[in-house]
Amino acid sequence: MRDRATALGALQFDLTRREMLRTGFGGVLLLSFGALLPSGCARYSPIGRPLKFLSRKEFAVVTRAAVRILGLPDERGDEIGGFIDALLADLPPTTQNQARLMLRVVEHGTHLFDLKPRRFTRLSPADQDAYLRGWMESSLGARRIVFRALKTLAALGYYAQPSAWEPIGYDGPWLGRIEIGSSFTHEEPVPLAAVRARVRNR
Amino acid sequence: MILDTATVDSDVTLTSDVCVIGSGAGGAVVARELAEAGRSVVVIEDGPYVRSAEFVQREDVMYPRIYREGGTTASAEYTVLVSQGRLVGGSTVPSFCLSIRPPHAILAYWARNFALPGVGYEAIYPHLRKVEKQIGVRRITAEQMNANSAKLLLGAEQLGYRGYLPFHNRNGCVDSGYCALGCTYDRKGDMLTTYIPAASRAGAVIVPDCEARQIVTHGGRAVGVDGLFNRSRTGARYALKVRAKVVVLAAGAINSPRLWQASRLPDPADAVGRNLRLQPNVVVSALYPEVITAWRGIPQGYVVDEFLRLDEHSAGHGYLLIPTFAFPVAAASVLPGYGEQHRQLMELYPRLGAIGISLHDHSRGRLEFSDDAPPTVAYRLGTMDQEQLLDAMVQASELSFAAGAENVFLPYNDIVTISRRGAYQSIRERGIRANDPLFISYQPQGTMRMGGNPRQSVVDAAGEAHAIRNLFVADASIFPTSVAVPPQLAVMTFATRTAEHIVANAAGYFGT
Repeated sequence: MRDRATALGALQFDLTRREMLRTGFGGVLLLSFGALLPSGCARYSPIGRPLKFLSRKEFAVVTRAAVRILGLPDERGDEIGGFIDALLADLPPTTQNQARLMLRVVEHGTHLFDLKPRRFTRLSPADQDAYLRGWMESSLGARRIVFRALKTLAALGYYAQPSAWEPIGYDGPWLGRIEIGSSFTHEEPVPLAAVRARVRNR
Repeated sequence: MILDTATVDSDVTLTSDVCVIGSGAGGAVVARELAEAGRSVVVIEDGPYVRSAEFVQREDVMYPRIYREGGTTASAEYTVLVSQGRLVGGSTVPSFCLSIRPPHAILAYWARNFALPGVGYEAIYPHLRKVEKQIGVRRITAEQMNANSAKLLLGAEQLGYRGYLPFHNRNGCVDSGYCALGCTYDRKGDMLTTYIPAASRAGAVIVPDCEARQIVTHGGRAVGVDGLFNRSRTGARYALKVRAKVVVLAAGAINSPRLWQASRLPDPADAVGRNLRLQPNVVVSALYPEVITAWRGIPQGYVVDEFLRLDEHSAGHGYLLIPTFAFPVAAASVLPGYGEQHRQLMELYPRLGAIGISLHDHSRGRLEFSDDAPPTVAYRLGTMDQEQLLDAMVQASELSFAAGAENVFLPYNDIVTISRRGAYQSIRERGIRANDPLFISYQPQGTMRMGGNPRQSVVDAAGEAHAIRNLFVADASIFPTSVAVPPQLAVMTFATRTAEHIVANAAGYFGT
């Protein structure tokens, strides 16, 4: 459980790599499936905040998945979704595209994996749990990867926020609370002209 | 000096004696040694220059800032996740600072089986000692152990398992516990505070935020490096050309072979990107009756090496058991469970401890290259390694119970709880499958192995490429097998050796 376990995991492990779903036959199937899925947002409720990256549809998927996976009250969803939206907005395009694809697959995978007529966000909470557990416990490695990605996103969206720390007994960063100095002086970076001058004078 | 890449507003060409690619444990050492020997040195680092004031102890801020873009390189079936730092100082900056010497038996095995007579323990000892002094290696004291480490010590004592207080490269540690997010207080002997500033004082130019794209060769000799700035004054990606007499590749065991391959360099041994060892880590968590606040203090204050079996006639086998812990985001991501169960587990956070399993793996993976993307890691745990890992999960559970744990949680996706000592059948029942449990590698190695035989290896005992003159490799790529322990010290030691070889043969490399 080292920090670095999700150092990259948190933002990138499950999301950024184009290989995410390219993992054998099952991955190819998932990838193909995702590419065929609709991306429109017409049937998704407007959101009471401006989004930087996620569409209304993606926001709905990620918030529902997060509160179910982390066992949180529904009302925390918007806050988590907003945090995830801001984080994803700063990630490289490959990561963003992978995230979009993943969320689309999760939303419409109900038809493929559970033969349900309704998409994920329209299921009851109990059915959402059963559906997500299906991803977690799947014998298909690619589905377990997607679950890990969702869980990681959810963890980042919720547990990175100070409001989540008190309930779990985490006392938060020392910085700004406990004054400890450093006697080490880091070098100031220099402009290109100074580098050119040094190289010329060698 | 360190270039402020925000001032770059055009293509740049620099000339130097040496161009080093990467500023981590290998690159920083070579840069300093050669700069102090009077050579002009340019270091190209893909990541940013981040000073300690920016280490704000927040996971959401630091993970994307100081770890490799593109995240970890996950294996093709996500059986293993590779985690690497990406900033000036490389993975030494967010490291847990374990400074464990490369074992005698491993070095002897390398010397004997890979035609490397100069890499035995006695031969490298002077370089090892030099490194240890530079980064301030000292033994962790019993008083410095945090509660999680003390649990491992207690468990080992109860069971009679062999272990020790390890060495580390911290000085004046304040026990904040934020090692993996970079030390705000500059109490680590990482490259950012030791070798990099020393290299800079000696005249080296450090170029952060610049991606090395190609090693340039002419007539079978390395003559420079072409790169692209990731950052500039205008936002454009300007070109950097460094023309040098010697090139040192130290970008790590994933990116060094990638650059070799992207540069279309010859590989007559068909060894570049092969022989990948990952020293996979798996975490077993435990619930204790009392609060242990395992996120504070030195994270890895004790090591159990009872199950690491090394001898110089084989590469040995086994694993280390090392205490470990994580801040909330990482913990929530790694801890098993779903929904309410997961939330309840997180509410026990102050009472949780964890043991990390570091496997001395024999499984050989490989990198699969493509022109337009980072390499894919193809790695599967072989049968013997799977057996070792299952055994390690049993032993980690046993140690936790011996230290007083009430429950042990195995690192599977869903919660697999062991509630009493000896009830470990669930470990064998669950076994190991792709991505479950999750393995993480902080120490990829072996993808450009050294050896005396050019038909079987990429570099010689000095780290110089067999196939390209004046090109050296100075990172964990060169290890012929897993080094069995955290490799930071071994990488720095071999990098020192490489630098001294270049200095001793300067006339041949530089003409002066």
